[in-house]
Amino acid sequence: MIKITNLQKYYRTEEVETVALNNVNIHVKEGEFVAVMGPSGCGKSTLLNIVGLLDDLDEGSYLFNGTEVAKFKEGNRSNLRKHNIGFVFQSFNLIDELTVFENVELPLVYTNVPAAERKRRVEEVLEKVQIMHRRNHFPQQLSGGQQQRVAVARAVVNNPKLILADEPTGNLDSSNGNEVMHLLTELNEAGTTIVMVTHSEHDAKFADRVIRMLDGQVIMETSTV
Amino acid sequence: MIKNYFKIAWRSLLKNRFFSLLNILGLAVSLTVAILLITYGRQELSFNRQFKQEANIYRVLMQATAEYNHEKWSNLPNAVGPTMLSDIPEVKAFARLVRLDFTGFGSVNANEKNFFEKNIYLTDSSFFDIFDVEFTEGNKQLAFKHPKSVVISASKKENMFGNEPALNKKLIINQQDTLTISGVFQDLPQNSSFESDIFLNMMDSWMGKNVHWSNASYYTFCLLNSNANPKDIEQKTTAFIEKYVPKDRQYYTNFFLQPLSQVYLHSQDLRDNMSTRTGSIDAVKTVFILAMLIIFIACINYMNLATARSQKNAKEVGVNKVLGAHRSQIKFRFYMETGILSFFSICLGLLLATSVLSVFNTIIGTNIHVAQLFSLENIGIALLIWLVITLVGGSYPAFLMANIPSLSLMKNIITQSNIAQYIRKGLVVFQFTCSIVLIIGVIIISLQMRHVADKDLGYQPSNIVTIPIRSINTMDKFNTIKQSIQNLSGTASIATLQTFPGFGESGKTMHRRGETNEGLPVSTSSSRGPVVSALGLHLLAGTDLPEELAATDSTCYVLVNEVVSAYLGYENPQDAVGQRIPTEMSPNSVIKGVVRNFNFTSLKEAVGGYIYYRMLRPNESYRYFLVRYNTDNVAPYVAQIQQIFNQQLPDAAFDYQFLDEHIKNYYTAESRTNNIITSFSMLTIFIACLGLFGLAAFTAEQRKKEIGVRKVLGASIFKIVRLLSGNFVSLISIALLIAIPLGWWVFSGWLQDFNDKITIPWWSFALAGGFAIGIALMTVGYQAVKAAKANPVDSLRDE
Repeated sequence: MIKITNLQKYYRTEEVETVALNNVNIHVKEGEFVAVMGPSGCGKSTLLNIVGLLDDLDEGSYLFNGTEVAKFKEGNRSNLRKHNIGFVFQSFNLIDELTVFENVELPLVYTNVPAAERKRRVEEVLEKVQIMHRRNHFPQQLSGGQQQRVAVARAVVNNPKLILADEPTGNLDSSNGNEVMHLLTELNEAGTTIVMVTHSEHDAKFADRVIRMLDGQVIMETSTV
Repeated sequence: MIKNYFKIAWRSLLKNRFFSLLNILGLAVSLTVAILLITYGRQELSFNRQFKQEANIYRVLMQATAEYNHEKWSNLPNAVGPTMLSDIPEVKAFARLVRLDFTGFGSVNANEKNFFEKNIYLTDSSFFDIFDVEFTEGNKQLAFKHPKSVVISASKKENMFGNEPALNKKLIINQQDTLTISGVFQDLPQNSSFESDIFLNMMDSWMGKNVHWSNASYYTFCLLNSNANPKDIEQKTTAFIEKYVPKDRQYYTNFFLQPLSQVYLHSQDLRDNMSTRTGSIDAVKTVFILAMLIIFIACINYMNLATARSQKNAKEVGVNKVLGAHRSQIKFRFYMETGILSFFSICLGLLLATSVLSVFNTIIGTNIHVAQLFSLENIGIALLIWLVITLVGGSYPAFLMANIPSLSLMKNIITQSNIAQYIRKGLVVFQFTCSIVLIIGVIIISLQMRHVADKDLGYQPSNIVTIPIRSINTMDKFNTIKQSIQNLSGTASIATLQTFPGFGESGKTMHRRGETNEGLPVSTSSSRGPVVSALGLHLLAGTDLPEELAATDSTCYVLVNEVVSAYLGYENPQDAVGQRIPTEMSPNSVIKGVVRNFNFTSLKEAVGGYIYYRMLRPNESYRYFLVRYNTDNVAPYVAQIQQIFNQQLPDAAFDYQFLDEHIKNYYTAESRTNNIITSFSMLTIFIACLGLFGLAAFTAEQRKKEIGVRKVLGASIFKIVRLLSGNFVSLISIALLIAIPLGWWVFSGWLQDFNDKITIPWWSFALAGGFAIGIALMTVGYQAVKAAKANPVDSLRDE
């Protein structure tokens, strides 16, 4: 599903050029659950942003389901993103002005799903993450774990082929963290490909494969199964 | 989708109530003023446009000779109109207007009640056709068919006769003329130059019957064929001067036509513009420019505040982008927010405009009605303004946020170009420059007005009541009334005059004996006896005018001011006394006395020549008592005078005016300017402060992390406040540097209108600058203190 070859990414200021990712090659198959690990600053979040088409790559190739997307314009990326990719962030990134229901509904709005269908699907996914009873609350009225469950619900409501999770348990205590990891595992078992950036060895064990990075390079790939 | 954006925009506005309110309030106040100004401007432009034949109606004007400084006059000899009709085929009709007794004032007795009217005109019957005046009673074709006819307006009819019909009822004017009401016309529109409610038939009077080319007192309108060329008509009319006017009487050089639509807004340079309703096209242009400027500043202010707040929206926008929102959708979301906010502002602006309408009317000196504010056109304009604000005001946050990558937004990294920052700072400088210039103006105008009020005018206008006496119809009554007033305990002295200083004097030309070319324009007023004591003039030499004259005395006695005495060549006023001089009243007028120059008109004018004269059977009749009183109980005193009048003249209306009140009218324009500038300076300061507040909030938000770090490293609150406020003080200082020379230049120019003016004190600039900096510091200080007091942990944790 994802095939990244010879990826180079630089951050430039007027005087200094920093290599963020250096000759990265990654291949993720459909249905896989991959964890990306490494110390802070090793480039794992940058990699995830490039995979999620939130950031550009400077050199190399990125095939998404066989299509070269490295040179996609913003409009195409946006289209590809909203139909294929769901995001889960460490800081949840829910919209404070929208209720739980409305937050989860948002990706469906952008893909022009009719209102009745939206309602059905949002309720279904809220049931699944067990947050239905809080559907009319605003994010700030929820606990961290609940907020992340909403974020997961939002990520999956559009039935994306790929979920990108950036430290999904980073802001959660262990029990809430576990709940979220179980949710992701269930989604993976249902066929969704998951790429997750994490610091946590514990969380990495939920993945099929762990890619370890250091200083912008992939240094090791290990299978956990 | 739209619903969603509406929800986000609405909740975001609610969540940031303070900012939203600030923004709505700022926009609403600006829009209130813009709406009022536009309504006013439109009203000014609508003057005289409602007449069906407007496009073919012209007012005839003439240009005077060098002796009269080439002035343009709107009052013409009464021969012009009839001669145009008879000699120029393209002229379809003409109508002349002249004020009753040249003042328009008169006591009217109708339905056994007395009314004092100030706009009585004589006109030709064609007036009603040319200006398509509709009659509610009578027939306009027959209105002036019979002698001694008069027509009155519907509102005057209601005033005089209630719901009863007025046709064929009697109207007695000044107890002298009994007229029959031959018609009632629908009130002439408020936005026309015609103020009269009572028209007499000019052809009943010598004013209409005796056609002449000398006395110029008649406003003349003509109706041309639609294919006539006004330039041709002007040439043909000017040719009358050579054809009909003797060489030595040619005090005008040419005639020209003024389209009716220009009568209201393009007549400021005319001597005597017929109507007190006189506008200025420059004022209208200024009003529209101001309105646009206010809308523009409001938009920029909105952008400042909205961009400051959009920092807070960054995450939401970022998430939306990640979830698939297109740039256009993000832009739409910000336009939506601006649209909602500006819609509230427009509604609030209209409501505010309604509530401050009377204040606005007073300040501008107009009479806009609430209905005009909500007219269809005005609502249309309001919607247009709404659209403009939404598009202009919403564009900056919309484009800013739509073009920033979603990742940056989610990490709250919003950098702005230097250009954008310079523009915002430039705007603050611009706003404060305007504010400071206006504050300087308020100070200078107030000082000049005080100077005018405190100025020794050369006579004592306070404690004088002027009373029209045209309705006294017999000499016996005149003597009885005058004596009765004289006997009142509060009366100091009485003068009986043609008029009081600065109102309705006769304009004449004075020549040195033997000279005919050179002349000195003088104002003259006939007087039935002494004037010095009543007016409080300073007699420099000789005596006052005599009270009594022998029945055989045909001499004209004159009291002249220093200007006249000096013109005649007397170095010492004493030398002038007893001299015989030629005047238009008499070739051998005798100088009885010389008085010190006095400002008989506004201080804007240099003092000209002035002559009071006393003779038997003067050409100009006596129209006023000027009564100097020495009592503090003015109201009962005036009531006593009124009682005397009512007893002697039961069928005439009593009217009076205090002379110092009249003098204040000279400065109506200035005091209006003062009011307008004061209001606008307050408004611009308010708007400027809002803008500054927005910029300060924006800066505080941007430098949140820096402030946090500084605090962690030990910076005191005071130091941080100083850090944040310092930049703004520099901006205001730049504004001050621009505003001082600009203010000096603008208001020195304004002072040039005054012949007698103040020197601009240095402290007016210091005061204006200090005030602006003080206000700015208070505005910025709030944000700075808030930012400085914030817990650094919060700002650093955001990272």
